[in-house]
Amino acid sequence: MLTRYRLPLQDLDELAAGAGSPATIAALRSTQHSRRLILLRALLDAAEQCSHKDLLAGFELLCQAEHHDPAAAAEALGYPFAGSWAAHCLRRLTGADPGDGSVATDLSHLGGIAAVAAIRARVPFSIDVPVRGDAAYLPSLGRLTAVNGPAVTVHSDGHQPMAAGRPLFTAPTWQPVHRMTLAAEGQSLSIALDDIDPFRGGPRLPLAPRLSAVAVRDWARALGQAWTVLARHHGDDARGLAAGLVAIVPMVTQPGRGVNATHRESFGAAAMSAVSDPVALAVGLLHEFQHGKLNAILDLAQLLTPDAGRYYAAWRQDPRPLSGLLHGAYAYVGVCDFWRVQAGLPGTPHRAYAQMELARWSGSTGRALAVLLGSGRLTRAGERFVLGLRARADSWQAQEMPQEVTRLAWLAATDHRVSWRLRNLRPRAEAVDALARAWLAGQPVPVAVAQATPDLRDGGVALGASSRLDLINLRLREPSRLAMMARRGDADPADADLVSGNRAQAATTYLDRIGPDDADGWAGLALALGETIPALRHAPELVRALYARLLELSGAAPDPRQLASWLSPAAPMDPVQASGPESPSPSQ
Amino acid sequence: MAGATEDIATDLADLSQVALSELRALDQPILSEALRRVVEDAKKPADAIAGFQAVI
Repeated sequence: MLTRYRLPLQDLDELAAGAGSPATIAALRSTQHSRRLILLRALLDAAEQCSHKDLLAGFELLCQAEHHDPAAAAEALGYPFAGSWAAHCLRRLTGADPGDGSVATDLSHLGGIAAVAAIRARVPFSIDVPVRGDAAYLPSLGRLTAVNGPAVTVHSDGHQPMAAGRPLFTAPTWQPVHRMTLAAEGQSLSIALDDIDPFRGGPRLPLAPRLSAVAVRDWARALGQAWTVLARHHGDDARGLAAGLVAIVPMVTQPGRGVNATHRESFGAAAMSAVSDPVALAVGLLHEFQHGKLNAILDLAQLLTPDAGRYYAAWRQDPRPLSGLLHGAYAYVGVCDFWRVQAGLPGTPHRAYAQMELARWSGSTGRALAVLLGSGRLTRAGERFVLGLRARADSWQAQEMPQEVTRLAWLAATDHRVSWRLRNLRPRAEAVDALARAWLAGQPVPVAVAQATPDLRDGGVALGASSRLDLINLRLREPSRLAMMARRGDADPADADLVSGNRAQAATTYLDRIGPDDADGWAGLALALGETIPALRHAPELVRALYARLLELSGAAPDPRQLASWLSPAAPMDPVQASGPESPSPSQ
Repeated sequence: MAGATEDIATDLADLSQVALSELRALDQPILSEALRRVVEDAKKPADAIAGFQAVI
């Protein structure tokens, strides 16, 4: 008789309070095996409506492999991208995703998974593995390239896997999945660096193509250094990663910018950009593993009931549902703990950066947790979990920081928040018209009108670059280089002044160029003057909309400072369901 | 609030003792409910990727 898992509250508390012990991570991993079997059964049921003989052939071989060696079958089926494969196929079969190529080819991918299980179990077998492009894939092992036809027959006598008449693994066109074992401080992590699995990421991710030998060496070096950082200073996280992380998917790297991602159904995998900074790579690994753990927790227990609301999240440019807020908050609780430890390391060369990251993200994370706790949508388990996260976040508050670090953290957090409002909030036309009439009539601001809820419109761009944030980081790490860039005109002069602390000069430059469509300029102006003119910071979208309307009505541009000062009696105006970044206040 | 020694019921069917060879024929209400849930999930708009961008 089947039962459902029971989740020990001790495990839930532990995963909220810290990284989670290896035993807890292993328990999550084992629940993922059940999840994978459910997906596979759903797929087998759904596929009965279409041609699925190859799916069945793969399934039968998987059963044989399990009969001989259950661990071999569990490992093949437990490989992270077997999960994303199954979810992808199910979406295709239910009509949710039209996909590319034939469904039959996608379904027959199970033949490759089963072949891997059979090879590991040393079972004699013969199975057709589908060809995608010009390659046949054996997930977690590698691919045979330069092959023709719809499928390649892979077979084995139980000892020597063969394909196309020759031993598979020594074929000149065989490309193995890169494997590496990282070791430091007596702690090791064995992972695949998988640059070939066809289900390692969706079309939205900038996946790196097959890596060169040099790139693989660079990855091994960078990961080794990152692992040393984790094992030496973040032991709990390292032990958790060692118990749960199976594969890293390399992504294309933009200069100076890392993009990392985690797939909902690929527990144990993290998609990462190649970066040379071991600390950045370490925090990226930790961040993605937080998402993986939360995905596994959410498979077990519902932590919240969704609502129709969309909320501000400091880590995204688009409005997020409550579930996104929970995911981000959980990831950043881990990230903040990482930076808290890094900031406290004696003699660390990047202390100021660690302090800024902690200041920036701890405030944002705390506010996201407050929104979750105030949402009324958390289940009992969810409330317990989020309260655990808040207790952890409360422990960060006693950090002493240099004023300049605090100022830059405030700039970074407020810039994001103000820019988010400008991108995603649209004041209602009737409210803007009423305000314009009052302004032109020389009347005081009608406060209730100014506080009307703007429309929330998803401005898109889930992840994006900010040149001002780049300058903030430069100011922290290499202030002389920022000064040189400003002198040479290589940086926006207003942004460079703002970041360097010359707020008055920055405001003058923003004002000289500002126009209705210059969202970046309005955000800059809010950062330069928002402390003294609150409406600029609290409702930049309203100041801008009113400015544009007055320009339209009268043909003359009003002074944004006067306009925002006129609106400021109505501040704080924060009618969207999220609180704004009120801290830390800039020191100058 | 419940003590940390307690546990909570989850939504996930425990198939850890189920052999693959039994999987297709398995017919129990807990599995039916689990299957219904994953199929419903599959039909929802996908937000399968959680990603973040870091300046480094």
